[in-house]
Amino acid sequence: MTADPRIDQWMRVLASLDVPSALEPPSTPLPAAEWTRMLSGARSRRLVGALAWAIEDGRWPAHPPQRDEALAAHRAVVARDLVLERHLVEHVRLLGRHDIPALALKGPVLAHLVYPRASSRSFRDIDLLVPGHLLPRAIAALEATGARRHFPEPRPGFDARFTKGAALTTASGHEVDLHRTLAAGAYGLLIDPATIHATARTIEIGGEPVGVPDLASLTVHACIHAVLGEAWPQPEIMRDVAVTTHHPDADLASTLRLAGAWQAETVVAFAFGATWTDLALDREHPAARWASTYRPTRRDLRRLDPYLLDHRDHARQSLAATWELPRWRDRARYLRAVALPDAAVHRHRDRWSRGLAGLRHRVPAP
Amino acid sequence: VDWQRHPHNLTRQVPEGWLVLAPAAEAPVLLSGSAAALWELLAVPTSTDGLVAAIIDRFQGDPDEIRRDLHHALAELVDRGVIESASP
Repeated sequence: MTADPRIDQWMRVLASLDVPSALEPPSTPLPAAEWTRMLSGARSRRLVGALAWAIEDGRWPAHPPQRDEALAAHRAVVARDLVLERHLVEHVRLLGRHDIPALALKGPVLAHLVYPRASSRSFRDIDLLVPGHLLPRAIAALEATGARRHFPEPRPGFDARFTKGAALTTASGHEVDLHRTLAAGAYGLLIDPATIHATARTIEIGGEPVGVPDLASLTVHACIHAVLGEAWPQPEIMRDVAVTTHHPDADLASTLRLAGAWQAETVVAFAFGATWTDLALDREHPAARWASTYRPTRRDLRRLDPYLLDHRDHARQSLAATWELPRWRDRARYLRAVALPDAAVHRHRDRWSRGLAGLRHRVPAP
Repeated sequence: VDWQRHPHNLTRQVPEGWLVLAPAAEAPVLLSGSAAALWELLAVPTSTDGLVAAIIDRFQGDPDEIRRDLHHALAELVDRGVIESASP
């Protein structure tokens, strides 16, 4: 995580505060230098909300200036969240005008539905899930408002059939991730996004209807994000795993049924194992008991390998994904798009390389 | 006149009170102390008299003074776009 094990430990403590855990906050206010490093870590790991509420509840001792600093940092984060949430609602409305049903994912949904206090869960971008066949139209709808896509489509048809999604920066400078599915590589092809759309519900955000996944989908998605999104599960994402599994409406059987349907039980078991270990949660919890007895097959481990710490490699993820496609024709189309993308992708890569070269020139030699 | 929160506000409770982003505002406003209490009373549309009675019940004080302060507070919240008149 960071180069400072003590700060890493405080991040785990902050991530564990919403659920029963054996981790304990400090018994006295942190010394000034450690406090500054800890607050900086909490900011970068989206854990300022956990810190502010812990101070307010008397669970995290802080000197008055430390308290003021934490609350000010929290206000700034929440102010940004609200502005992002407005953009979320605007984009759902925009896509609705194009007859594209969009489900909100991750931060804002977890904040509204799962966390005991919404302001405790902050976020940095907007994530929307749209049906794959409508993804090209959704991208076009956003581009028509001035949004710019980060990476071009490798080959025609890739977006609708194979991609995880597309990231765009809007004219106002916010990032919107339009998802076709929940993961890159093999798992992205194994997940059936239609299940998420079929079991979705509607909540109100800012007086507007917004579609959101059900709790089982949110839980599996949190596990996928924790295990597949990073080389090792990060505390702020394990916090999502902990909070979704401890929610009063959580239903482990539904979660595991969904994970099984997507062949993602290994991912869920890994996420539960890492979360329960790193956040020192109760090992008698049914999720922990299930994870401790789960045995992945060789195929499961092979599928997971390209995502993990020592072997994390996008090319291997893409290659492994090929074998999840049942039809040879699709495998050929997929491989061609990944290995031999259109010229626009090459131009984009060239710009990236030139940018790196420029950066090297600008950085003075030590 | 009944007062109500603007239906398209975006809100979060924070330890100091409430952050409220009104539909036309660029940035949220922090409602703390008595402004936060007034915000919580407005969870349901309430008349000025109803608000005065609820504030007296909660904080005590001179009714005329409370009505005068409330008048200013409501005007400011209307000005910031976070509440509106609920009357037809």
